[in-house]
Amino acid sequence: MHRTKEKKETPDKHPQTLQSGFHIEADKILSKTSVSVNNVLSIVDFKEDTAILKMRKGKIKISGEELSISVYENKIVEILGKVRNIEFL
Amino acid sequence: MMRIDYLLIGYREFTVDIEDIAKAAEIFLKCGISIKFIGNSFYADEKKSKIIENALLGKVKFQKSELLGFGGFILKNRKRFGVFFAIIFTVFIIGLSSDKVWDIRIEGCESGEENKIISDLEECGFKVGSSWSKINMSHVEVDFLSKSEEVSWININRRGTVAYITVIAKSSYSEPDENVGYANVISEYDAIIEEITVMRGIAMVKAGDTVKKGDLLISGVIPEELGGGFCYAEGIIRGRISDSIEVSVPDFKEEKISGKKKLSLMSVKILGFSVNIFKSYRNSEEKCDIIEEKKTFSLFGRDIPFVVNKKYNVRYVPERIELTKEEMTEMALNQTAETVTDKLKDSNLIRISTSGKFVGSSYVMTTDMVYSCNIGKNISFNVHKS
Repeated sequence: MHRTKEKKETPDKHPQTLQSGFHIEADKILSKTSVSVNNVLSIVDFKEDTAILKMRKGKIKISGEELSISVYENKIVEILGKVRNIEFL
Repeated sequence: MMRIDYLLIGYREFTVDIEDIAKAAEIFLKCGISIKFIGNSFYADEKKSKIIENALLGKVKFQKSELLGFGGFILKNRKRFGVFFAIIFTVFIIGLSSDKVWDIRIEGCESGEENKIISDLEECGFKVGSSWSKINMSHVEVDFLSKSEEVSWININRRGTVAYITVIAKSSYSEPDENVGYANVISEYDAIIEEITVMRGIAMVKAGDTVKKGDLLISGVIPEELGGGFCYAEGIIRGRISDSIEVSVPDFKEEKISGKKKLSLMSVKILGFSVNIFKSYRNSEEKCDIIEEKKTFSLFGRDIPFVVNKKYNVRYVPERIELTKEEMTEMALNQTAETVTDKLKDSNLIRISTSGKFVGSSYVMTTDMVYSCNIGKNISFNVHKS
């Protein structure tokens, strides 16, 4: 069978495809909220009431109470707790 | 909640200062280590502990506990053989006893009939004390229904060591008349009538007539001169149908080039209860296939109620492969054969002709065929009495 490899081009993007700058998902887990943030470059600050994360397109500040942090592969960070506010800095 | 594999294999607890949580999390993010902080502590198995120690050494102050969990317990008591023997013996007894039916509860019947149902089930090989792993539930249900004169449906559900049996008793009524109600017979296709046999109703067409889809073939309305009234029309009408199938095959196909398999989820099912052990997130923009694996275990030939479920992500990259003219023709032939076989499964083929040509970058195959089949379909109607 004859195979030809085509020159790789930027794949066609559906106009509604998410840009890779940031991607946030939020879930309710019992009385707490889980906020998962993709493509995190670094963790600027973390305290029990504030988390500041840096991504390619800017920083994000998550504030609330009793926050805890989890770090996953593929640069995903999850903040779990009583999330009150999410700000883009 | 602590991961069950950590509890079984053993784990260590790491503690950092509250001010250093951000710094430690940053190090784990850059090294690609998954960690879940609980306050200023986190847990890791023995293998991961060494990686974490190397990552944090010299950068963040931390405290590490001794080996905890069942693994730690074994390490501490590795010379006390009696303790291990007692644990293994207890697990063995629990495993064996969970394989037995301890109780049978019946729903859906009168209280006096329960004993009869239980004794009938005993004849089919199912009773208190039977082994779950040795019983084929479907065989027992079928066997029971063939012997029972009072029960028309039975379902046996297992919840732990208790069998919940639901039954539906047979009702004493006669089988309903299939011809209750009225109906016409209409044509399902555009066709030429070859043969019509009327079993009930009034024929509206004859052999040689051309009919369209939806045309009335046999009427369920009886004319006044024949007695009047309505009936459920029935009959066999064979019609000759001309049909055309077109298949178009492009000059390329997409194949997946698979990458490495990566574990994304692991859970354990113990005695029917499911516990998540491990879950990892993937980049949702990447394309991947998901493979699911289930592993069961047995001890001395008996299945134990312990199942391990795993899910793997296999990333792939679609690659475009150009086809030769011969390959395009072969693909078009295969697709056409599949469609023709499906259409002709209850029909007689009279004539078929196929032709193909290259149109632009595609190959188009056209098949014209003439076949005969049953074309009648019953459509019910209601009569409102004024």
